[in-house]
Amino acid sequence: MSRLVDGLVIAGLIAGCGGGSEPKPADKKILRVAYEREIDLLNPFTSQNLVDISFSMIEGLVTTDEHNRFVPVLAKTIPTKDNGLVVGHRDGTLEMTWPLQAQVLWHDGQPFTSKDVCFTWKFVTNPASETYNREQYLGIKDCRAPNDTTVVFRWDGEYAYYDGLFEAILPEHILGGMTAEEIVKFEPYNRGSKTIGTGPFKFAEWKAGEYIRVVRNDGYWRGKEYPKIDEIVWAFIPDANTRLNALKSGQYHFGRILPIQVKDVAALPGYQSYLIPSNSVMHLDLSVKTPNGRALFGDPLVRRAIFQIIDKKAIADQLMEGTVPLANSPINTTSRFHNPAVPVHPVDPDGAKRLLDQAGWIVGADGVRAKGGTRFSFTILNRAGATDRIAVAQVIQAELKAIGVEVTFETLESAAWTERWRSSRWEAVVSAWFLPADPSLTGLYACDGANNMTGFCDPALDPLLKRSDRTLSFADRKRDLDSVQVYLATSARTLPLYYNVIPELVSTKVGNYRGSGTNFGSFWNLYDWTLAP
Amino acid sequence: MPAYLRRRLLQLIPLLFGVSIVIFGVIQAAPGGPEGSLLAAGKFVDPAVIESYRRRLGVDQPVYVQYANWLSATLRGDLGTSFSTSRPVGALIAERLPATLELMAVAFVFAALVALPLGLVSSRRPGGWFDTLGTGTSFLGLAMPVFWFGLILQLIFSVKLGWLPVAGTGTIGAGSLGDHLKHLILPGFVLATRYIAGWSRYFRSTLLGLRGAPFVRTARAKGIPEREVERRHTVRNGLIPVLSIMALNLADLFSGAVITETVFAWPGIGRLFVQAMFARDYPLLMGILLMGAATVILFNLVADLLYGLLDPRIRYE
Amino acid sequence: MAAGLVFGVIAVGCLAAPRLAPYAADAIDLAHLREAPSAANWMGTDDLGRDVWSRMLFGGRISILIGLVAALLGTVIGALVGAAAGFYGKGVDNTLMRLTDVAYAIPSLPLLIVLSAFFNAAAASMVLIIAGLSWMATARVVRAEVLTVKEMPFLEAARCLGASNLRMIARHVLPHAAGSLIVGATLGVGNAIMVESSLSFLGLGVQPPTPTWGNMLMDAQATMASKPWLTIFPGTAILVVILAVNFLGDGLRTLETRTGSRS
Repeated sequence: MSRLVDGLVIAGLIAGCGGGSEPKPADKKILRVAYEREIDLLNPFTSQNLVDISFSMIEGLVTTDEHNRFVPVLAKTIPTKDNGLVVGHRDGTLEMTWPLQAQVLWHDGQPFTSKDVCFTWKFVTNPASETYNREQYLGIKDCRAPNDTTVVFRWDGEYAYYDGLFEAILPEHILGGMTAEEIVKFEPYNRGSKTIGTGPFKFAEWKAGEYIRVVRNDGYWRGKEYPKIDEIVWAFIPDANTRLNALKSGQYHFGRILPIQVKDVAALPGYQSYLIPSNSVMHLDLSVKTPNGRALFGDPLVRRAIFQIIDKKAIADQLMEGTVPLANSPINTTSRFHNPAVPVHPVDPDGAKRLLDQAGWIVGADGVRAKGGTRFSFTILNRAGATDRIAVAQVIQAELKAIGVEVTFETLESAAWTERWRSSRWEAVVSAWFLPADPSLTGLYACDGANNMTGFCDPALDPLLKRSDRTLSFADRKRDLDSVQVYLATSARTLPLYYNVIPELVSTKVGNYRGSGTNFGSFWNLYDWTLAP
Repeated sequence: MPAYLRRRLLQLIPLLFGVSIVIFGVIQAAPGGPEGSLLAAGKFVDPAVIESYRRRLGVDQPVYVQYANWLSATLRGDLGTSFSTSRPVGALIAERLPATLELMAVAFVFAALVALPLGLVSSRRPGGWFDTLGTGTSFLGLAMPVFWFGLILQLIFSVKLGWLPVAGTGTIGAGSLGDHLKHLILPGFVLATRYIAGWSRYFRSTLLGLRGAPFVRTARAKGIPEREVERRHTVRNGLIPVLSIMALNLADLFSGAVITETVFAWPGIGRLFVQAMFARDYPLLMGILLMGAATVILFNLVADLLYGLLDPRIRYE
Repeated sequence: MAAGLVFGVIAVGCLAAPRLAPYAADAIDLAHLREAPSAANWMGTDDLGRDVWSRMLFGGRISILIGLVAALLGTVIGALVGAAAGFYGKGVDNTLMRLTDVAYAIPSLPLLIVLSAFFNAAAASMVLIIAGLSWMATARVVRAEVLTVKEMPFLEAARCLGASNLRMIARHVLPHAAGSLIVGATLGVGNAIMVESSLSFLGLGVQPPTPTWGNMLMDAQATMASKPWLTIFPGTAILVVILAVNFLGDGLRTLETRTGSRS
């Protein structure tokens, strides 16, 4: 081994000589980010993995802040019934007026106007735009631009998520006159040369596979003092261990790490790690879509027994090293809609055994419970490479074994996993979804929810879910969602384990960082970030 | 020679055709489609959007139709449009190839600088202490799991000592030639260790064979000093077979550096492949694998021709 | 030959894992996670509190079995294809060798990655995939040997005596090629173990809870700096085994060329 190291040192010395006189880096404030993935393209609506980089360049009407709330960006205020900007008509339709920021210029100097908002609306509602949440925009029946700084939507009813739409606005003067198909394929916008936004930074360079660089927008609408940094570089370092090493070597100001790496960097000088609570809950889903799943999980007593044996506190405190908060509801505690008063499944192995005995599942000769010739054995569908989920699944497997329930694993590579998940051919998954700041649960738990693959369907729950989506009244919605959360817990349909956190390692030179755990991420206020030399 | 070459080149056509069918079949048969990446980021997607996406990409058509479309386009020199980036596959590959080529070149120079002297000195006294030690050390490089090795080097040289950068091809915004070379050292070295053992062992055994060859013995009998014999006869003739092995290794261009590129965030073709794989980006996967196969075939031909140069007894007809 | 001994000891030790291991490979203990080596756990515990020493033994069993079986299978396929091609010649030869060319031309690691995404990433499918992609070189070598042997007088004599083709391949041709086959197979063992660890790195290797040295090493990477024992043991095991196998192969090759030149 030492000989090997000697060899390395020599090799290092030989090659290290090539340096010579390096040019002095200019006196610019460059924020360097060790970024966890390589993005596909820059159109925020059609990209599949562009989550937060684009918000440095492209702004929308709203974004989300560190408190999991929507805040206006290009909108002056978010319209509500209280501020009079939302007016209901007798026929159930709504007139919603968005006042826009004045004096906003696109990066190429053209003025941003309300017409750009209507153009964006037309694009996202077109099926060919392939916008992931297109259906949410369909309630808008008409978009009007009475003047440059006012846009008026006519909705066909009340939709609670309205304030989370239009996370980006497209420039009509660049993309106008094209069909949606053409826009989706329009390379200059997808690749940067014409990625025109109104944001604090302008696109500068995209080196394939390596980095994206943006530079200060001197004409930013918030004022001459913004942004406070000259350049930002996102270096694509997808491997988590390489990223940690890169951060530890001091070459980057910001990067996301794994929860179990947090202890490793606790004493790293010059950095501070933040555990950003995200709108994502790690949970165990059971499905009654397959015959075996129906036989096992159709009985609520059985589900309750399973949930009583899983020690989520041990998972959160030991396995995740105390980095994650326990979850009892799908809605994170950071949300205004979280219900802290849901019933909790106590960890009670004896009770679990009693429940299973009661339900007729009796321990057989092989140590596995059985009922009428059916063994209590099911398969958790794991996604290859999802280390944290597989670790949780293994804990669940071991704990269930102790009460005579057999758990096997099937592991699929991620695209194959997704296909299987969508086809409902699975019995159990340990999974986590990234919910938007708007906490609608309908897609996941309604009988016909687009992402309800579990086969659970409850006529009593559906009206609550649907009503919660169709009101602009916070109190009404909160009441419905509170009941939904209680209902989900008592019916033991899904077992929330813990809320995912995103550990972010930030250089102490960075100022005004206000990490956000929504799907828009922590770069929502980049215009305000500072960087000490 | 030209006739032989023409025949060999003509043989490539059915070969590549066979390769393309195998690759297309394998990729299409893999479970999961490109729409999987719509959901991979963890966000919910409108099912109607998924259908529209599949329709646009043409993956809703029968496999043989997709293959026919792909083949006719490829024959016209168009490798298609990548699903995930909406960009031409040819352009994507062209963007990434230089980085991989450069990394390979550096690794080859590293490896040759170590392997050739090692093989030469070992061959002087086979079984001697240097031979044993050299073989052992070079085998170490072969036996070390690449990703572990890479991370260890990062920990030592970047995190602890702070001498070398961890990832990428240069310090962004402050790049210079020296800076770039520094970025090449770790990945280049890690990649090189894969080749050192094979090359030095091969060079050693070739030299051993040559040392006993009649023409070398003749030269020695003429009274030419041993060093001179070694330089003019043994080494010169021993280099060609090693070169052909190097050509074969170079053919690994598209697969040899997958892990190294991932560990060092090197923007090469290997990483592009891994991404394409997880995104089920069929045209991009096809493009990369086909280019890879073509390279393997081509370099095999080169290696064969090099053998011909070495051994005058082999005549290509 | 010391290399053979080292490999033998490790292989036997791992195959005897159920007898040697103090704990089960999947004995999770959330109260004792990621603990440093101690008297109770010689190699410490992993991220689920499992005994690393026990997992090293069970993991080694899988890793070495993957190596041995994949290498053996690859060699058998290669030998059969090569022998058939060489012996029957003509159409058979042409078909088989073109097939070999096609298989040889496709870059192997990418194809391995694609293929392993297919299957359930179980040890058995891993073996099939690795073997299915590593028989080509053997096939070519065996075919060449067969072509050489075919023209030798003793084979003609055998044919005159009425020996069947199969019998002739088994009795006369394969022993001739045995030397290079053994060397190839030996190196194949190391290659297969390495491939499994590389696939584990991409998340496509043998999947938990089944331990292999490759996935143990991969799982431990995230905390490599603070919990080095978690990587050092599986990493070193892979290193030592592949090293031993290479020395063994190298020794066998030397032996083979020596005896080969004598005959």
